[in-house]
Amino acid sequence: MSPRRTLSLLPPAARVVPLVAAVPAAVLGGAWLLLIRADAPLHQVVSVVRGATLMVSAAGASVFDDPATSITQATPAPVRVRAGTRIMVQLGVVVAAWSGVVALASWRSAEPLPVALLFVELATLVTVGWAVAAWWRRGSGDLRAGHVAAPALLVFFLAARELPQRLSLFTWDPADGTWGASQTRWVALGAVAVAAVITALREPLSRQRSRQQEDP
Amino acid sequence: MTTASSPAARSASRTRSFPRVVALLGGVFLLLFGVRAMAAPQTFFDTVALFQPYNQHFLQDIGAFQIGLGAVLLLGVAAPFKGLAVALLGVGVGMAAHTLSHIVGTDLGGKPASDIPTFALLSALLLAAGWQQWRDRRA
Repeated sequence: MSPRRTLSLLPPAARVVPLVAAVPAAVLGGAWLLLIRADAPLHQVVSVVRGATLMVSAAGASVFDDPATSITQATPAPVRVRAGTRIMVQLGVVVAAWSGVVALASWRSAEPLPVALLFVELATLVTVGWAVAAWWRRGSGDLRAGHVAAPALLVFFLAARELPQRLSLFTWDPADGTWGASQTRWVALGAVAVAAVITALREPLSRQRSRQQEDP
Repeated sequence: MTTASSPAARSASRTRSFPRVVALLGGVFLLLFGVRAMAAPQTFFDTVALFQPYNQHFLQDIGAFQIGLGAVLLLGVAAPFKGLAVALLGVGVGMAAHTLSHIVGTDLGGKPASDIPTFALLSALLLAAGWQQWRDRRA
């Protein structure tokens, strides 16, 4: 599909993608930041930002929710293009909501926040949410896969808490020597999640076959 | 047939309003005590909860859960026939306060690096599910 046609899908995507859930998540995170003392220690602020990141990511897991899919799936656009436009729209809101929390956190923190490293965690968690939603939707046909993906993120977190220290994702003080290693694990997890999303968004087999027949 | 001003109607009205009045009073009481325990745990310990030894975090946790219980009662007053929504929202409010207790007490022990994000997400899920149930006209 041409970029112009792809861009033309953005407005309809913006109308159907559930966007508002990320805002209350960010507001709750912001409220917690306002309730801790000013010039809070860095590890305290990081923990709140991480909590807000997880909430915003859970909100972002609703990206593929669309009860009208049974009507719109007849569109000639490939699955990945349709999903990509939804992701672009959702990502804008998720990043904006998260940036608001980070701006507030920077103001409350006594030290500079490691924003780039925290963004890696956001990117990974959001992608894990999408991966679960995409696979659930593909496997079950559920039109509200976000209702499964958001609690799945909680299960993922509860399971990750049980990891041994050498594999921990929860290093919370950038001054800690293990922060870099945990960030590497976040990146690796994010890469796996991206691959899972791409794989889950394959064309259905019947549609692949019909396209091959159309384009010999 | 009973009219709005008949003794039977007034009696029925009082019967219906009694649980709501008790829920309102209980909710306000729990909410105020909960906020007090969370905001000033030392004063709460000195004046109300004279149980040694003093533990700031557990007192704030008690405050958080009292806030949740109070929220359940007050939401129940507002919507007496929305049981699941009231339960989800009330427990969500308590969990949000519990998360705050862990944020405030980051240096007091526990596993804050994983506890805070986990409780934060649990709060968000409870509140989101409660809000959806609240808006559901069939509920």
